[in-house]
Amino acid sequence: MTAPILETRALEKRFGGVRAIAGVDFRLEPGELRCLIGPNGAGKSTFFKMVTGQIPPTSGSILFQGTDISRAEKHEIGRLGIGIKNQVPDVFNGVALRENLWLAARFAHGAAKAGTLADAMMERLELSSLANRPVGELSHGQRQWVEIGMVILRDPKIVLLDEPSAGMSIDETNRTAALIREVNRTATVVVVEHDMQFIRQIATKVTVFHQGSILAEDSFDRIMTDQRVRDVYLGRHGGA
Amino acid sequence: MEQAAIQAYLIGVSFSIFILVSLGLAVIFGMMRVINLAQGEFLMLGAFVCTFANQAGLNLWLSFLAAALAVGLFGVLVERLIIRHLYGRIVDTLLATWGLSLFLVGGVTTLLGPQTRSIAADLGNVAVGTYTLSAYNFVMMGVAAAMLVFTFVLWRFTRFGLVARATMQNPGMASGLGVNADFVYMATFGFGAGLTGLAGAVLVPVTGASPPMGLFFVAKAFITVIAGGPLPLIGTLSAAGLFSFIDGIVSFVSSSVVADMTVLFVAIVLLRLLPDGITGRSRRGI
Amino acid sequence: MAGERPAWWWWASIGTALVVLMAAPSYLDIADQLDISIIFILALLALSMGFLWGQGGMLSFGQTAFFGLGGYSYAVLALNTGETTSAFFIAIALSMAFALAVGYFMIYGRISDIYLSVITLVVTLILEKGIRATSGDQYVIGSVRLNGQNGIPTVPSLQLPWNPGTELFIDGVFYLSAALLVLVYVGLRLLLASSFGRVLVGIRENERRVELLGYDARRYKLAAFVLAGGIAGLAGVLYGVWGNFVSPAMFHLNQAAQVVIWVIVGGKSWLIGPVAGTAVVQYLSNWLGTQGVGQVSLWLGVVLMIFVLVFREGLLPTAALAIAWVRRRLGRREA
Ligand SMILES: Nc1ncnc2c1ncn2[C@@H]1O[C@H](COP(=O)(O)OP(=O)(O)OP(=O)(O)O)[C@@H](O)[C@H]1O
Ligand SMILES: [Mg+2]
Repeated sequence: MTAPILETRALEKRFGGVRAIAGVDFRLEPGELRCLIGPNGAGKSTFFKMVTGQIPPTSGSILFQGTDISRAEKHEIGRLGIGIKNQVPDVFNGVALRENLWLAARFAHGAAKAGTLADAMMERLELSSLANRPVGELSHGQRQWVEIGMVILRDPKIVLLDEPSAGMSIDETNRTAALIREVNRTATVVVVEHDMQFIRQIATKVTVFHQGSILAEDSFDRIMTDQRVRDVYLGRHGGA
Repeated sequence: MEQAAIQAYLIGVSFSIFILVSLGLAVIFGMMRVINLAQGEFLMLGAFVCTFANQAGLNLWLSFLAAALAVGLFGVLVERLIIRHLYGRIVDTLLATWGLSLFLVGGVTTLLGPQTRSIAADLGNVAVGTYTLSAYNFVMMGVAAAMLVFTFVLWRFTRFGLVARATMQNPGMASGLGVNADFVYMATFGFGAGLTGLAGAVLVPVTGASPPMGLFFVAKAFITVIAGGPLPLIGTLSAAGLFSFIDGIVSFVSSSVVADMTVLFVAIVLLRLLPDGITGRSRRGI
Repeated sequence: MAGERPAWWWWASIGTALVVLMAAPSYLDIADQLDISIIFILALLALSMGFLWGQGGMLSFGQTAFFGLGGYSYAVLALNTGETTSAFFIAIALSMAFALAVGYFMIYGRISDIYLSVITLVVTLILEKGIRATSGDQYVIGSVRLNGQNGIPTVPSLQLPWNPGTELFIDGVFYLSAALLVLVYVGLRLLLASSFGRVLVGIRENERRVELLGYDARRYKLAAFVLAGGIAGLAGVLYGVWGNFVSPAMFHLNQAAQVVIWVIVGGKSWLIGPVAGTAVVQYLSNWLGTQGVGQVSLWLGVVLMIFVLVFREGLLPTAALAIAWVRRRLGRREA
């Protein structure tokens, strides 16, 4: 077994009386493409936010390549190389598309190269024609791509994507799946999704969250036939 | 012994002033999240209403009551005309209420002139050893305590309090349950304004009534409520306790201006250490 | 606007403005020069607030505190040493140091932007009260009495650094304040086109995203806060030089309200907004003052309420919106 790139130990988060994350031991190997699934309120987004320093854990630890980052600031974690696309599009709405990407490229690659990199990313996302439009005017799906583009411009080691295909057409979803596989060539990726078709396209290993704990962890096919998973998750979602 | 009693008395007076000036704000800002910079002028209006009511022949207690009612009604008016259009636009609320504050100071000065008016509360003095203490200050402490208890009971144990708390936490859901959220906001704002008017009235025998009097109290009120954190009543109470303790001691050994500066300094350092205020870690309660 | 380098016509306008300003004193009498210099000085103050608020998203009422502090520091230093060049720079440095201290606690404490507004307001109020309370004989710094309410008269005029025997006269103050206003405006405009400015705008738009990208937003915000404090301090020094007088009114809330009004009237999304706002409002209020309309604060209050409730974007941007609207209407008719 190789050393994990990301590991959490007995991670816990309480909101008042709610245990949103209740003792999670999670391991991620370098280079994986992992999917996280679970019913609404299972704690997936909360888990992502703790890993990226957006909310502090109540207890437990988060290790990135062996160093404890559970009390680190957001920007320190960003610099270490963990990037996240949040569930709700989290971009600079009032600013032009190109400027959004420029800001992301500027940090990792310096001002001199940022412009070229931002332009290249717009090509890759096929959004070049919208370069000067404020991102707030783009569609939900386009904003998701912009955010993913911003995350990967930083050349992160781990990419966390919280529901990247939400609100996208089938065609857009397929392109997103291709993009994610491409990103996975150079980075470890974790994707939270509800769309089973989408997960089937990309997943190698799936982790199931339920009520703040890990319920199961296995290959996609085995998870699909796991009775416990059916009970808590698929049952409620009409067996997608 | 005598020293200690005087010290305790000074802290008590300071405590009651902190409570008086911040309780209305604790309701309006702490509960409703409305930044009302005209808070000081509500206080000033209360002071003037009380002064004129008293001069017109009402006794002290009825003058207090008149001030509370008049300013409460004024608050309802302000909520309908200005605040209502600005819910959710917190910076705009701040600016508009600041405009209101300037308007009221300017307006009252134009109407009544800049001079300070006062009324005497002839309650005599209390002797402690070689010191004589004004008996009125004890009245002030009493009123502050009564206001606090009244607000607590109203908020915690009455149906209005329950509905109001639910509305502030989740206006959408409250509307869904048939609560008239609009009315609840208006009434709560009016209640906060009324408390502030009463506080202004109670302060008249000590500070007098003058157009710019609100300016300084508003600073005290805001640092108290902000430092108190998310639980409006308990937070305000604990911040007022802390600040009046410091204020009482520093103004005893130095001057009241130095005391104000010290309180401000402590408040700012406190926010660095506890960005969410004294009650920042608690989520439930009032 | 952020990120774009200024176009040629922008540089051309700046050049024209400079030429006009340098020629102006030959055509203006002393009284006009005085009236216009003070507008430049106050425009600097408005610019410091407009920059911080419009570009950095921080509405600071502390600008008047830094303004007052700059003026008082200059007065005390210059009166004590008899030398004005170092007093000029040290006073600005002191304003920045104070901004650094206040800003550090607020920004590193991660209080929200709205609390930042309230705290800076409180700081200003309490400083003013403190200065007013210094009327006694015991409040002396070096050989200078602070004089409480009454302020410090006889603030020295600026001497030429290379020739301390010569003092700036009224036209000298006009040139200096005009030049500094243009310099600060151009400097801020270029700053906004730089990496720093672009990140600052990113923070205004979405602080969390900036941090997740790896930037320490607190540093950028604090740097902007200190820079704005320095500009306000500079305005304060010039104010003391202009009238040979500093007083607690510099810290007064009415002063702070005026600055906010200049910024709102001109609009804060463009840097030129606060400058234009200051000119328009000062001109109007001078005029109102001669009409004898009573309490200034009453009118300030009315203007503030109207702008917040009706013209949220300020005059210039509202005008731009109106023009865009008319164009669209015309375009549709042609189509
Ligand atoms: N800031 C918060 N304050 C209080 N409770 C919260 C907060 N954030 C999340 N929760 C609660 O924590 C639990 C987990 O929420 P989370 O958003 O992590 O779920 P999720 O698995 O991402 O769900 P979804 O699939 O709907 O996005 C929920 O019960 C939610 O109500
Ligand atoms: Mg989620």
